[in-house]
Amino acid sequence: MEQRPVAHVYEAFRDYMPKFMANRTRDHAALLAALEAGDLARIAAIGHSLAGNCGTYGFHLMTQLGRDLEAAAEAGDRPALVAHIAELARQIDQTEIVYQA
Amino acid sequence: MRILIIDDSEDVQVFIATLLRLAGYTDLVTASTLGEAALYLAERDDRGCSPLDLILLDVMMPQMDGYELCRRIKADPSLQDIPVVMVTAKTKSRDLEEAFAAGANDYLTKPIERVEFMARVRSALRLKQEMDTRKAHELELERKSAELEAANARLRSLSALDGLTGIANRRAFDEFLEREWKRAIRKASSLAFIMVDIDHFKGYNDRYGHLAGDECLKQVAHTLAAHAKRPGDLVARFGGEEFGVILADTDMAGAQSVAEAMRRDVEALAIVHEASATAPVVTISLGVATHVPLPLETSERLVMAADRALYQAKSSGRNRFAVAGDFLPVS
Repeated sequence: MEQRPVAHVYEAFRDYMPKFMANRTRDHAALLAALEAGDLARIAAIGHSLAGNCGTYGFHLMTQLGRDLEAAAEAGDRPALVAHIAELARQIDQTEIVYQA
Repeated sequence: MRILIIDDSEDVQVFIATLLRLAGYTDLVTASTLGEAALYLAERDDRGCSPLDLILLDVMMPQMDGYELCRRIKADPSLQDIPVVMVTAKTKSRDLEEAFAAGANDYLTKPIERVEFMARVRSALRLKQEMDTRKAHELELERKSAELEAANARLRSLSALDGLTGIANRRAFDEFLEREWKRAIRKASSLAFIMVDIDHFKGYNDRYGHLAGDECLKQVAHTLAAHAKRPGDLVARFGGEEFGVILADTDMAGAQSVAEAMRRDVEALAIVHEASATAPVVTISLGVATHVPLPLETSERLVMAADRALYQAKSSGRNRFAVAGDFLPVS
């Protein structure tokens, strides 16, 4: 069984986290739509910003996922894209946030 | 310290703003689009300066190239001193080069690391403060220089004026005469000089006191000065109750006309003078001389001729002008 993802987030961002996760859900929906439309450039752009935004807040697994999405989009690797987008959904759903001072 | 955050990502805006607020920076403005950024970049304070102290600029934004915006900021004289820190997920050395080529002062990569971010922000703000201080010193220096120049001009003007009457003094007269004398030589034009003396002024002082005497001198001085209308004319107080009048480009007929007008106007002041043997009011006598000076001649001859004419006017009964007949030639 896969381990539950964990993100270590600075305490000062606690109040913002619901909005942050809502933005990731929005990213996920946008990725699905872009995949449906075959818009790989759009997927690469979303992956790029996902990596920047998530890394900044301490969501390192999502950061890597963003980079993988960007790389798979640039490579035109559709099966990988499907897998990464599914993984993003899982992480949005399961990531445990641990606050740090 | 006012900081502008330009980033289309709400997550990054919140992240940066939160860290800055925690560090005590509360004057923050955020822009997600070029239009919003332009509004903040166009703000000016009372002195016409931008109120911004730092710009944090995302490189990649929809419909906007961060490098291009940075170039525009650095090309604007009213914005170019504001430090720009570019924030981007691009990490290749080519990107770094492009950022600095665009004029960025610093470069931060995403994911943003908290400690590094605050260190870079503080460093950029320190840079801005130092530039502001330097500019303030320069402005202060300019202001002081202007004050000094004004004070010098005032001193120059004071040293050229007679303390009592406020008209030119003897020193200014001498300088002015030399200048006009040389100009008259160059232009081969006639220069006129009128020597003026208040009749029975000692008697006036004895009768009415020195304060009244001073007042009389002032009134006569201003009446005479009203006739020096052109840049080449000057009325100066020689000392005591004597005045000298220089009239550039003026022949004998013109000089006599001015002398008579001066005499008439002083008489018309109707300053009562009971101690005068000439008239019941204060009057003046004038000696008029004109000359078209030749090279190697000195202006002293003109002054002496007018002085002799003044003596003639006095001898002939005062309250009149006399012309220097023996001063030749007027060509």
